Amino acid sequence: MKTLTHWTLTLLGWVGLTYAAAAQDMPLSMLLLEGEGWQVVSEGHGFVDGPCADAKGNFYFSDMRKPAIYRVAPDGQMTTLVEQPASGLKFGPDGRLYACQGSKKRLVAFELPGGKETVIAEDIQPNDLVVTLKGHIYITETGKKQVTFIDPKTGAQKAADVGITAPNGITLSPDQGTLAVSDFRGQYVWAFRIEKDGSLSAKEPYMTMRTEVDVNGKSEDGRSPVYKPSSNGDGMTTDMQGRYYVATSLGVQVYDPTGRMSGVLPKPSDKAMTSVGFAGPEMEYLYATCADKVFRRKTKARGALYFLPPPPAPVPVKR
Amino acid sequence: MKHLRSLSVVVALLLVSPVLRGAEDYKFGPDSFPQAAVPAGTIEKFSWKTSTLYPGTERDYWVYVPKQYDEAKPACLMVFLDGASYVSTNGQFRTPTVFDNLIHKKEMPVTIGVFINPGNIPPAEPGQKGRSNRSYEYDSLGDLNVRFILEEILPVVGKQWNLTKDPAGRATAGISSGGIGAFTMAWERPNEFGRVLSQIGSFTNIRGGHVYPALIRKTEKKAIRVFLQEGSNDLDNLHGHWPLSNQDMAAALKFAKYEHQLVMGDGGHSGKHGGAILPDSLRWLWQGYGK
Amino acid sequence: MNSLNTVFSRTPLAGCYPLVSRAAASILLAVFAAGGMAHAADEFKATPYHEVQAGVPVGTITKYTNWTSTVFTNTVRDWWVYVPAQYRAERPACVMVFQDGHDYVAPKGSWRVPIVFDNLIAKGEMPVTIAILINPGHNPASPAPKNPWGVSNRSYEYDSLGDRYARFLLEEILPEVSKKYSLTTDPAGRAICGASSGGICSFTVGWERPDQFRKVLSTIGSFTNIRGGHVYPALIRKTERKPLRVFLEDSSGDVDNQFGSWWIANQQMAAALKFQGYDYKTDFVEGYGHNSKHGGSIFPDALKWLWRDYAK
Repeated sequence: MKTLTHWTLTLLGWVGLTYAAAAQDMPLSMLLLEGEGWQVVSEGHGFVDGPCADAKGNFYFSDMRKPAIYRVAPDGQMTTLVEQPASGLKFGPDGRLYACQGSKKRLVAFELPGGKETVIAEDIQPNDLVVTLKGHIYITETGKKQVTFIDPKTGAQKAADVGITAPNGITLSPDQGTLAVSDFRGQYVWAFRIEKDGSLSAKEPYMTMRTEVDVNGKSEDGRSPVYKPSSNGDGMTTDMQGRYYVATSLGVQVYDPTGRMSGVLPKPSDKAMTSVGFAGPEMEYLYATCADKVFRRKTKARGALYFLPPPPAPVPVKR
Repeated sequence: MKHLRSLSVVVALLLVSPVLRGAEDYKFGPDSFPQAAVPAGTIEKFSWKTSTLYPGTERDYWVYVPKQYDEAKPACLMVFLDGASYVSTNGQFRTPTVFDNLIHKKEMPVTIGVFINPGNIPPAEPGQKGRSNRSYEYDSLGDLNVRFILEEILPVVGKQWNLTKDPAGRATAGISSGGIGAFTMAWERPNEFGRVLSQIGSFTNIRGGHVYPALIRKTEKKAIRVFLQEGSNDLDNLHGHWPLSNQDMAAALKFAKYEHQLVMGDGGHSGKHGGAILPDSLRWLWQGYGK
Repeated sequence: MNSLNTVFSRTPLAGCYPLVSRAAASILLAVFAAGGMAHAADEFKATPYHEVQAGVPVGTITKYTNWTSTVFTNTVRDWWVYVPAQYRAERPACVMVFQDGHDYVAPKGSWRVPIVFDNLIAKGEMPVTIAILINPGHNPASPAPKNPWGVSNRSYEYDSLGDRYARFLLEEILPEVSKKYSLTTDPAGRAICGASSGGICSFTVGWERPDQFRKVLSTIGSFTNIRGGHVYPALIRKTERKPLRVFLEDSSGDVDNQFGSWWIANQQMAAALKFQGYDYKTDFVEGYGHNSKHGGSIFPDALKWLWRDYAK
């Protein structure tokens, strides 16, 4: 053994043992509470979207058709904040509520309370967004197949990624080192490394979404099932344990931090599920916006808030 | 600090995981220890940080070259996933020592071992976690990992050493997700790899690998010889049931008339059984080569 | 096992995956005898529940012929409705749907649903339940099949994933039966049962519509890759648990062919149901084969388990 010493190779054996421990398995039993199912939070809407939370755990969503942006306090008290549409909502580290207004080709920020509006960027078609602790904004421009980076200070726009078929939902890992983007017309959630300057690198189809069986599909052999090519992967969120959540035509699909599926929570309604987000006093409620209704369910998870600094150490996961 | 952390993870794992369930009183035989008068091969370490197929990833890999290697004659090739655990001379596998002994006894051909680690995408800023690429590389179906090895790693190795082009002289090996990863390499490129060694292979639904038995039964037979090692106390978790899935693989390989062997022990999700029987596994895997 | 495969792949009906045709069954027996694999124990064992008992009220059976389906276009089929003597219009009855109805309705076969139901209901061991026993469809243009297992649309209807068969039941059959009888809408009071491809079909109905059917009885279920059904164990492990109660029967002598190993597939199903905390029970035995001899023998016990806590 000329090149490597026996000692080095021994140590390697120990390091190698961690292959089994490298990724923690996160079954649905680590997320779901026995006996806690979906409950209706609000109904009778036109088309709801944009679930998000503030630091107190108040829940926010929009009705695109009304149009209106609402806040729901933990006790269920609902308040109309602004009579404007928003397909994506997130709070920034400056305390403002950022809103995607694709129909008006702009991104705006509202100061609350009061709703004073500031246009952040124009000539864009944002579908959904995240705002990082640095205040950087990433939006999905679904029609342009583009993830766009926006500097909130200057409003300057830059294509951060081009090529995902229909980039739609967008979220961050709890440490804000990874950006994840769902493809509405494909079957992947793509992962990127966020560089110091906000640019994106290391793009991979890191999570594979389950799609529906197409009962009318015809396969080559006439026997194999045909699965729909589109997941309808829509709004996304993340919890403090690093799990990713994406709203799809089959329901909420959940992935562990290494991109492996934890499981699927079937939709609470037959209608389209547009997005998911955590809120609640402990960020323990998973909310889902489904066409005319908003649902939520209590979980063992704790949602991540990107305008707060990430925790210094990994949060242990309850079994 | 980094080392300490990973060591504490190992200790925690040993304490709580099903790794220690089952009898698992598997012991190394003489082929897993250095033997007097058996020439030892050499091991060199490399790193790869410029992948195009796995952009942003960094990884180490090692090349073992047996003493009997003659650059005038193409050597056989065996690619190990999770290379670090296999290349260690004092771990659960001790592959270089086992190769030394088996090649010396002519129980396997003169074979160059390429031991490749999975990739990791280091974080851009301090305090952030890197992105582990292991599951994505090993558990995914499709040809991306075999392409990575064929198009990025082996051309570099091939510049320095003379590797055979005969698929029957080229094998893949791995444990757990590396086991299904090794199978996927040969399944996707049987014209490149004709032998597979899988230990406690994850033929489960980590990323869709549970479909292999069904695929094997309905796909024209490929020229792959497969050795499967598994333990009755292996994992049963959200991804699937490892012992049943390995039995399902063996049943499918049998139905489709593949050369294959399943060795079922009573171990858990560890390399202990697979390591102890590595010499026998390699003897079976290389049986008939060059004869 | 290889000889068994051969029997199946040579059967002209193999394409639609028959249970066992009479011809195949006789070859099968010959194979077992020749191979020294025959077990005297591997026979159907009738219990008192399978026999007509004096003093037990007898339900009625109505046959519906040449039913034209709209969900499964271009098919016709026969089906039967069994109504227990205890049925009263003012009290909605439980429902149990059987696939390959001809086999279950027969008074001399392995199932004998009317007799078994009469006995179990009379003893209060299952609720007053209307049985709907449905044949798979066949193309009206082609000649009537000589073998009821060999009808043209069976595999398509039973082995396919998705909700089409559930829609057929919910949009056509149950509304038709409801015209004459009062059926419960409580999903826990609605069960579904089948053998082989009828087994996976029954599971698929529960999986797709747990809001409608929550009790599933599968024997020698084809959780294999006839039409992609091998994915169920993986789906079960990674889908939020559905409120289903599942009984699975299989035997080690079941088939192993191009679609899969039935024996391993059923164990995978059981392991997945266990992992995800389902209310399930298995009866897995050595021997037998791809037939209903064991499933039929334990049928009364399986029904008792399935209905054990339902208001009688």
